[in-house]
Amino acid sequence: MVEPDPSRRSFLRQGVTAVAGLTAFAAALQPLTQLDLDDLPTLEAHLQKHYKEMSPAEMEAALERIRAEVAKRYGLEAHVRDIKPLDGVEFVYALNLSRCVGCRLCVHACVAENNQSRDPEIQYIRVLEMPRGTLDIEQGNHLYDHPTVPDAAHFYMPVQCHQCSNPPCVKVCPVEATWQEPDGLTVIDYDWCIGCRYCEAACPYFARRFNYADPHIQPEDVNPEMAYLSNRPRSQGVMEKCTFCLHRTRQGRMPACLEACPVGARKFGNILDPESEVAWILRTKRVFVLKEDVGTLPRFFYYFDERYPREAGDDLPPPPVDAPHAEPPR
Amino acid sequence: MRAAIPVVLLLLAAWFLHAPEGPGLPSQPTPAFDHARLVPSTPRTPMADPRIMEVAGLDMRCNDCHDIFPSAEQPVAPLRQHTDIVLDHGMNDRCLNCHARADRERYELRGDVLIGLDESPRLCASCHGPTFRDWERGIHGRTDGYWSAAHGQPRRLTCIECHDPHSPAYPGLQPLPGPHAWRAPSEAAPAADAGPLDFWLQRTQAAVPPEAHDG
Amino acid sequence: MKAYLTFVWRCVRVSFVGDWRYHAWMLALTVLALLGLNAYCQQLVHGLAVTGMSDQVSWGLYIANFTFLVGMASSAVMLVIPVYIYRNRELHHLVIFAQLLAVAAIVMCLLFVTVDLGRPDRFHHLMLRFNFPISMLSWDVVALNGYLLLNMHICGYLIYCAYRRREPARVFYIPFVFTAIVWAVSIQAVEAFLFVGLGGRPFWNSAIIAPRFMASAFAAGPAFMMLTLAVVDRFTSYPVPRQALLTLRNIVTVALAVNMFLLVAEVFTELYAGTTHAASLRYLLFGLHGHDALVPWIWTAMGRNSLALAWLGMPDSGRRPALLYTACGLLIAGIWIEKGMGLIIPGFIPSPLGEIVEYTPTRNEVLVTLGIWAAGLMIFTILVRITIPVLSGRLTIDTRYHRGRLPQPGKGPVATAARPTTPAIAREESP
Repeated sequence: MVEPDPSRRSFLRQGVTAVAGLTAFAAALQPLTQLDLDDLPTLEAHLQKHYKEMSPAEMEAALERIRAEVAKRYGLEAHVRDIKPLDGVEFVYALNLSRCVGCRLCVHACVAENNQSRDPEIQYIRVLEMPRGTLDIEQGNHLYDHPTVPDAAHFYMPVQCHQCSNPPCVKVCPVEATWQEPDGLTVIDYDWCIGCRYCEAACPYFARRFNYADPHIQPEDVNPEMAYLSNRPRSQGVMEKCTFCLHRTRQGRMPACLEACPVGARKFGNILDPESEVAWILRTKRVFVLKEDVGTLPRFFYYFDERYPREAGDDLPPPPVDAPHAEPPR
Repeated sequence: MRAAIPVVLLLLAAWFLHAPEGPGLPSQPTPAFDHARLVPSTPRTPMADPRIMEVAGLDMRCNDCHDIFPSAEQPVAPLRQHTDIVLDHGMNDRCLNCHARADRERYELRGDVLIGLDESPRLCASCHGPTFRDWERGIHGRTDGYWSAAHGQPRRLTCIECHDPHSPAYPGLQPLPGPHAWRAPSEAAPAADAGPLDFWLQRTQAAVPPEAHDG
Repeated sequence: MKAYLTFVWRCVRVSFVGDWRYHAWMLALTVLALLGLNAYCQQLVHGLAVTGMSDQVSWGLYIANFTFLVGMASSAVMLVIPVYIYRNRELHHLVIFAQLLAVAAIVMCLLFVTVDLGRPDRFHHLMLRFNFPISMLSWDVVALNGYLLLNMHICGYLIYCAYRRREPARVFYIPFVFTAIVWAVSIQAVEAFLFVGLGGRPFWNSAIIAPRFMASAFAAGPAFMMLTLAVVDRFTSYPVPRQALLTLRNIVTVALAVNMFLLVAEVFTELYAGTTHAASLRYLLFGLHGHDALVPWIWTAMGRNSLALAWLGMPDSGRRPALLYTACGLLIAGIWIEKGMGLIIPGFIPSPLGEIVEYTPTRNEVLVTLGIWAAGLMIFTILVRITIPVLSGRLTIDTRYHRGRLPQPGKGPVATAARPTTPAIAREESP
């Protein structure tokens, strides 16, 4: 016997089994009923082209869709633009490790500026508390929580996307959802990313973040000044990362992390301008990059500067003996 | 057996339909902090020129008192006025190193050159040369606003708009909350291995002369 | 065309036929597959947050199984080469099972990749902007789908020709078989290069990964084939010569020995110099700073592989099937751990900034994984279930049934030579 038995009883039995099977299959799909139909992508969104292929009209339609989405979700009027890179500009970021005190104001200013999810929490910048005597960033402590910083035995090193000139993340993306722009910024088209997370595995600096769940921001925390490639709302299942605040920097402004820094440790500008601050730093300071051996050619430089050395328990040098001096008034 | 198949499948269907609402997702929001700290601001407001103070109900300028009450040649006594000032400027522990003896509404450079209160960077520069050089180039201290002068005016601060001139070292700050991601720990991990420097510092501390161990 | 559709319909009907053990097996797989589907629907709604993955460990159980199954799929070449190049007689009519395993394994691989994507609804983007040849994932897409099509064609053509009782034309399958030999090796290589090409992950950025992939695949795949053929031999009348099993045993033993040596080479390279790049291997083998979740797994895996090698290497293992099959089971489990979780997770620990974030698969993730395995095993069972009667001549275009030794369904229920007569059997027995 190989073929099934065609008697009526067996037909009924097979029918019942088939119905039971289809019922179980349909019931298995039950969680999909929790999906809000409004949240599903529209056909127009689904068929949207890659950023590089969109005509101005298509881009305007996409921006309009984003404005509508922000209005619906947060009740805000968003100012979403597609800001093109400036000519003759390539950005470089420099960070003075002698100044950074590890306050993490840059981290949270970035979160506020770029509409990152608060729960689950996404932060583009990680501040490492490094022990003295090593530049091995794997020795850094991410979770320090002293009452005051800086702690005398450590220095502090914030790490964010270095917008590398030889970016491994761009190399590995199978759909070209991430690429480097002429002004040096590595950007992501959030509507093109398929969420495979190969770029997150490829990045040597832990710069990229994935939306494992639907991003949650309170409406009062939303920054309505947005750009298509930087801080407009992202969806579940796509990558995001620091873009050097391109919605600000492509209009000549400083990024949010720099403006929040209370000690002026961060420096930013156009490396193609020989008179810029960053050009001066790169020419005169002893700058270095992280993980140089990986060959990424980052455009984020670190340097140590003069700093009055203080070690815990150190006394100041005594005054010269020939000159009596006043007691410091208290 | 064959009768059991549809029964099992229907039981499975019933379980799917009555199963609890969904997997428990973790939730770990960022701890609250004062968001006002994120607003870029000028840390200090320097003295106006001239500075008007209210003393015993009257508006007075600096020289209104200091013209009347002369200072000693080398002031050694503890100050009876201006006791709110904490002087912790390293080796620079004399008021008259910076403040002009003859005119308290001026600062004094070397060679008895008097400068106005708004020219304080020249005073700081007379000792802190490398820092002043960096400040002039824009790389000491923060440049707010614009990196591109074509788009807007960058905003630079003078020395004493960040540093308290009497106690210029930056005070410690309370750090904002660290990462609180869902599936990563938010408590500090045990200390890492000793790096090269710790290795040698420990040896330095261990190499104490024998007599120090007694008593 | 009509004959082909009839053939497909008959195959569908045959796959529902079998005795109670076959039905129990298929029911269990169906239940698991539906549980997996339900869990995946939860994942679609709530996002990949229902898994245990994080920004630090961004690939987990899904990609671990994907990596292991690519190896299983490519291991078909270990049977194809003896048959088609060296004209091995014993394996000649068994090689089709390896190719069917390749089909089922590739389908499982594609399913694992799909469930790992954050936005599977954007799959079509792969066809619109394809970063080939720069991105290794694009090579992977081409390689896996091409291999699937190759094996589907080869198996489908050979089975359909047997059904139609005509000699298959060599031009329609020999070139494809030889292409598949090269292609099988290349899917393993591409899979390995996916990981090897990441300079920022020193645990993976090592030339030994690709040879290890080959060696472990060529041990686990033929071992799985041995277990399959043991089931076919026990429960069907399809001839499985003992020499075929011994040939497979030899292949598995050599591949496993090479795999163990490559492991020793890797461990020596990383640990002798004591560089900081060895952190991931230290985490895997000994734990790092108190984090040691994978340590028991990897040591039991290495223990299993060593034991399996010892048993397989014994001269009389061919005469002790229980030993042989236990060794196969052990080494499949050992290689699954070593190549799956033991390769993927340590690559992420410590993170590029030195953070140690451990990974534990959640219940949802495990259900989806089991569901995909169940679906793949179902596909493999059905394919074998169809193939055996067709190749035995009992299911052909001009026969509805075939008298003779009781035909049994593949993979599953025990068949006794003297079965209690059921009406269906009685009808079959009558001419």
